[in-house]
Amino acid sequence: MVYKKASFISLVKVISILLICFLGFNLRSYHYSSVPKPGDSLDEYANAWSGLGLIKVGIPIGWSYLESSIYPIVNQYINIDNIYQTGGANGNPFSLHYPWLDHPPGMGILTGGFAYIKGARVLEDASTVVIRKPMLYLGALNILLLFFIGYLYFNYKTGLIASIIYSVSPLIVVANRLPQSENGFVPLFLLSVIFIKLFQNKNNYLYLFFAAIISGTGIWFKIPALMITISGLLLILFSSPNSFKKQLKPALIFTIIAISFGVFPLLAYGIALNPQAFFQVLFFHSQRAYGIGLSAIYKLFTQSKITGSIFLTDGWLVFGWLSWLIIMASIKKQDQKSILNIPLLVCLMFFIFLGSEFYGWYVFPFFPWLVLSIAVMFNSNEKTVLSVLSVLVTLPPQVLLSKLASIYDFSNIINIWRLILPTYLLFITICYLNQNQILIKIQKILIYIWFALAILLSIKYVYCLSPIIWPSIN
Amino acid sequence: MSKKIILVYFIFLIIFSLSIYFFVFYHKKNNFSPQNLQSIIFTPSSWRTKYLSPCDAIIVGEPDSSNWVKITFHCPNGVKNSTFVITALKQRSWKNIINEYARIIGFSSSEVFDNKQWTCYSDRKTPLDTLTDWDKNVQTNESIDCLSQKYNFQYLKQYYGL
Repeated sequence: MVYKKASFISLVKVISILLICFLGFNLRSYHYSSVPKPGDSLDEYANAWSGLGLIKVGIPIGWSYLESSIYPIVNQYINIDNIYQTGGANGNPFSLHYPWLDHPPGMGILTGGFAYIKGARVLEDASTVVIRKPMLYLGALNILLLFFIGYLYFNYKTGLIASIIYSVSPLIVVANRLPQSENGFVPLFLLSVIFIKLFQNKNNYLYLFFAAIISGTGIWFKIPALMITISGLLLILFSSPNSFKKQLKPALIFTIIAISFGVFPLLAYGIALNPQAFFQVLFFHSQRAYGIGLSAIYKLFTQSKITGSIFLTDGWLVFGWLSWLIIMASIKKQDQKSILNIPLLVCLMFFIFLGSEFYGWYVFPFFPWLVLSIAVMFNSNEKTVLSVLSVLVTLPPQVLLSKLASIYDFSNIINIWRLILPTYLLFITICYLNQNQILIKIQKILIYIWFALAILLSIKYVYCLSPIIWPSIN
Repeated sequence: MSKKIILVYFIFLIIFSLSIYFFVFYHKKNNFSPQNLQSIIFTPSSWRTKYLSPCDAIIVGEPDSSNWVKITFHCPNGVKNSTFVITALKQRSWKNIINEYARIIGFSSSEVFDNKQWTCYSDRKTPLDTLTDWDKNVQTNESIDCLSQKYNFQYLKQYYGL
């Protein structure tokens, strides 16, 4: 009987997480080809074209701002997704490069390859309907992988909360639709972290080997995916209960395998196409202007960009950053401290060091770790953390309600809202100053009510993001 | 992880990298040709919306390049203005520009060259009647105005206040 009950609970747990993945996939699929508007980021075409060109004519073709005398460049109008009628390209022809070596071929092969399978044969065929489709699956995969990280490092509840937030956050949902290289290597980042944890739990070097291969594969998507390797290295060194000295050997093996697996095939690819062009583009990248500015971290905390110029303010992101700071100060266990800080700090290092312009996709690798920080807040029983969480959990509903108010008439709710929020804040203050266990229990219930409201409003808002609403979201 | 496994890995990595090198090299050698490149870049998609006439759509936006020409179609349903960057063309004649413009929008260019449907003027004054007129080299910032049968040259002068 006990066994049956346990297996039933396990079944419910598995079904719950699968339902969350399905919800996430469904939200990502809604208007996926038209939100963000085709042309908001022309980079998505460059990636897909490079893959399609590589498959069809044996050479990656893509548009680029870079100038070169080593390889041919042609200016060409390619009216993909009718971007010349919608104004997406602002009337500018594409500066096409062949071979296009701005980025490694991973994302191009994924999206261009998918487009080729779906029947695309010319550049104009690689429309958002086709090239964004594989991203929806990767987005849903991220939800599952984030659940595993939460589960392995913390518990089922943390994994579940993290996966719910990741599946519904409007910013993450919309960002996950874009075929940007970051969206290609984020699942590898998560998978690599999972294998590192499995290696530490079971002390089986096969897991370490997989973690390294996966980390290296990230470099095929974008060179900044080296962040996966650096994170892995630091996680191996610092998240284990073993001594630092004992961890040096696996850390070294991991790094050597990851970097060699990322770099050697990439070199072979570049040299086979055009070695001069390959090294020239690498040189150009190292010479790019540092346009991210001196206020990079401030912008990161306060702005939530999707592309270069489109913003989608999302309370979950601010909630994530603040949760991370709180958790950093309160968490004690070494492996938990490591998983919450190392990947995020490494992302931050890469963001600041490599930042050329503040494009939205540079922030995409932060998302899983910020969401994990939020989920960990729900785990804490510390009174201070509980009080902070009580305030922070109101952020997503506040942002979402104000956004929904621009779509629906909320004039009736506003008067109730101005009463609810101050009353709630007063109650939290009383709970904070008082030790009464009943009040704390009520506070916990209220936190989950706010959380449920935030989830429902997020879902509602994502379903409101239509091509008509999209131009006014900034 | 034993040294032997690491050695096997590096042998695998070298074979894998060499396979990538030879695959990419020979794939390029066997598939790349100027014709194939032309085809993948220039062929319009059979999936996208096509327009029946130049009156149905325009190129929206003001390009960054200074090498542009203005294309204006005076249609029965209103004036359709587009700015076209000529660096996208090797031979910069009005014929090539209209052909390329038609390819981008998705209408048949032959209707523009048909005098019965459209009367075109370069720089608001010179009628493009003969093939030689259409083949003449076009300079940066020039313009072409094509009038539907509803309008005449007097209308064009009035429209621009000439």
